[in-house]
Amino acid sequence: MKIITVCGMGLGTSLMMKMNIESVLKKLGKSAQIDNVDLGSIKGVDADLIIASKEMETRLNSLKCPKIFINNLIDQSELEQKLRDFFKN
Amino acid sequence: MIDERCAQLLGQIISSEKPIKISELAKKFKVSSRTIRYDLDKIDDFLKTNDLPQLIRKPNSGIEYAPMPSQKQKIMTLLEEITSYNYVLTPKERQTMILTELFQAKDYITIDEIADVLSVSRGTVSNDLKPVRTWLAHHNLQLESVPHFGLKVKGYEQDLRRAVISLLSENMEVEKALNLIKTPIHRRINIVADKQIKKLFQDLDILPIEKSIQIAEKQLKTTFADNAYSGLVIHLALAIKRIQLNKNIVMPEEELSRLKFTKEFAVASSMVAFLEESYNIKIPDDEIGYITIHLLGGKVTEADIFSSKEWLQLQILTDEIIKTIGEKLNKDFSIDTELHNGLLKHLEPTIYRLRHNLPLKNPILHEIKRNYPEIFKAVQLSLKPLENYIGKKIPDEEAGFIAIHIGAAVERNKATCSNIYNAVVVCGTGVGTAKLLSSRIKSQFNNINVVNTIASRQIEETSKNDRVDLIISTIPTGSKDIPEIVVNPLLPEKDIERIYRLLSKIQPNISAYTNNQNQLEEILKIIDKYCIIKDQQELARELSSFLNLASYNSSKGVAQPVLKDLLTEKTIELNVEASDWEEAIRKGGEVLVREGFVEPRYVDAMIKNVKELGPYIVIAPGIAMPHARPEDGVKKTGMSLITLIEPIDFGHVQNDPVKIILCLCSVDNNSHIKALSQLMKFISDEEVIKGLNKGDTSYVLNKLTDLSEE
Repeated sequence: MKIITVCGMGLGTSLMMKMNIESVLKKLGKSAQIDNVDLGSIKGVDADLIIASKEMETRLNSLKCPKIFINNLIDQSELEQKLRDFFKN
Repeated sequence: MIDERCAQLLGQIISSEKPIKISELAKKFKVSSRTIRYDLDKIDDFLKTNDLPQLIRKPNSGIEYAPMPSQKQKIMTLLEEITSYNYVLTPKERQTMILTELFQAKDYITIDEIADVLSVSRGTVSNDLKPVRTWLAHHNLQLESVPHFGLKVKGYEQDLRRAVISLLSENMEVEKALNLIKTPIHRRINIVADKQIKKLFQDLDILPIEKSIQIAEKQLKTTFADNAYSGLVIHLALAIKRIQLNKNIVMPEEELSRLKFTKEFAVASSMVAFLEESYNIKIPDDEIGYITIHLLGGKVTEADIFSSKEWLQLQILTDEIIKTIGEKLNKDFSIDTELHNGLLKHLEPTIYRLRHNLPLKNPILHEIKRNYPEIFKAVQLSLKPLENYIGKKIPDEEAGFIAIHIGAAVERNKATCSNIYNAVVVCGTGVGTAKLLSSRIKSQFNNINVVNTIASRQIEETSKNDRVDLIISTIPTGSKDIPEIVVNPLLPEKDIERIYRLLSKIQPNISAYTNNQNQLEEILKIIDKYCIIKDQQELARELSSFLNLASYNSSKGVAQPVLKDLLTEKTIELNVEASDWEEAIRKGGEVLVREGFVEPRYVDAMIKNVKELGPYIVIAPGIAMPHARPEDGVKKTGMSLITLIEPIDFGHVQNDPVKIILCLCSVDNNSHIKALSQLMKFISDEEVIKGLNKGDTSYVLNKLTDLSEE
């Protein structure tokens, strides 16, 4: 499975999310390829899941694939909860 | 009866799912459309005589043939029956067949035996041997003819293999050759020459070969292009066949030793271990070299290490291992980017092999242990982090491969640090012979810098100069503090050698490396004082290459700064006043500008970013992390941290108001990784946040130090 994290520049928050996702996935016993990209390049990328800051929601609405939006990018518990829900479905 | 081309044509048409155009067939068989039309008529005749339906010619779309399965079966049988007996071989085909007979023969083969296989006369074979000899000579091979024994191909094994491969590719496309090897004989439309070539790979189960290539693909995280894949299968099939016949290939020693440094060599070794087991043979090291070359050439894309899901751990592991080995060997490898990148790339397949318990043979382990005993030992002792990471003991074979990387780094280390010695040259007067001697020294030693030529009486004065490393003199000077060597002014061989020996014993006061490094820093400072620098990184890079500095790590690019290097007393400001979010970002950005991390325009870019993309940079309740792109004027990777007296709204639905502003700037997409991962740990610590809110700078700085010691 391929997860893409998105942020405005492709090197700040998306990178932080990537790190957090890695540790959460490890905890959940899952594995995935995780790439971080900037908003400009997201259109050309295909992914099984997109994870971004809540503030990005309106900009990513047009994309078809499943998305998770996060408010607190430092706190892993929010991410963990949302990833658990995602894997349940 | 139909000839070979017709048989192949029919085979093509049957196997094609849609109609094929005549022009297409003509192109494929390299003949004219008219010839194809004649051939099609011959095929129709052949089909008719055997009570089979005719070809279907569809205007504008091409030729089609769709027989019933039973009819198809009948055609296959018929085509298989075409043997040398009722098929007339062309001279070229005969020669190809003679060559394959010769190549696959275990020993001498007689002309009669060949004539028998080809169903032609002895005389025809004899005549054909002339072009066969020419062909072989063209491939650096000879045809040896021994009375009462027969014929045999002589030459170097690598020429012989090359010849077989080129025989294969001359006669068919690689793709087809591959299918030929892979397909069991009864399932193919069998044409005489093909059947003959197939003999080269008789009785060889191709499955383990393909399996081994898949193992390689997984380790290298890559997919081979089709033709590279086929090429590799054929190469391996041939190699195994030849090894079974006890024909071993030899690779020039220097070529082999160059390849040993690649990660592909290790991967090839693991393939070989697998193949040895599968075919129950012993594969010599030189074969590994040739497989390595194939692997190096076969990759479509160099797998990007940053796309690996373990990229962060790999980075950290690599750093840790290099650091520990460096400490054990008392060497500083931290500036050797080649080592870092090489080892980083090497570790990924290594971890794959260990996790999957892939057998590995390290053909040069013995050699490594013998030539680099200390390095090997140091590597063994430094692999703890890797062992912990995988939860397995690292076998010597793997440690050996890592030792090769370190060995190369030690050599590089020597080369870049090759010292420059400052010498004074002395003679009685300091004029005549000293000048002569000094020009001899300059021409013989490029690592001796003659700072002065003096008279022996000036020696005391000069020895106060701490930059002098040695005295080269024509007469004894009696100097006590500085090493001295007395030589013949003409500097004969013998004296040159003595100087070399002396140099190896002494250390210069200023090593070349630090010398140049310092110079570069100084030059940069001077430029910075009087000029506006457009691109600091490029300037440093170009200057360092001008000064022949092997790997200059500008203060900007210390490969991966850690958090405590970036957040310091200078970059942390607590209780700053700001009236709106723009001003808050500006205040944080100003710190970066002041400390020389960014150009002023970077601050505007950070603000523009929020205006355009929204307040997503508010990453957690009360914390914002403004940043922009490297190309927005970043000079070096950095961070600043400010807290606001009055919290400010950024317009974030959940995380407002913001009190902590962390401005970030990075020279590229990854040099801030380490610092960023530490930053996350740092700000998810509630104690830290409390400290920040209280304005307790020293507490925060202490926490930063603690963090980096973990």
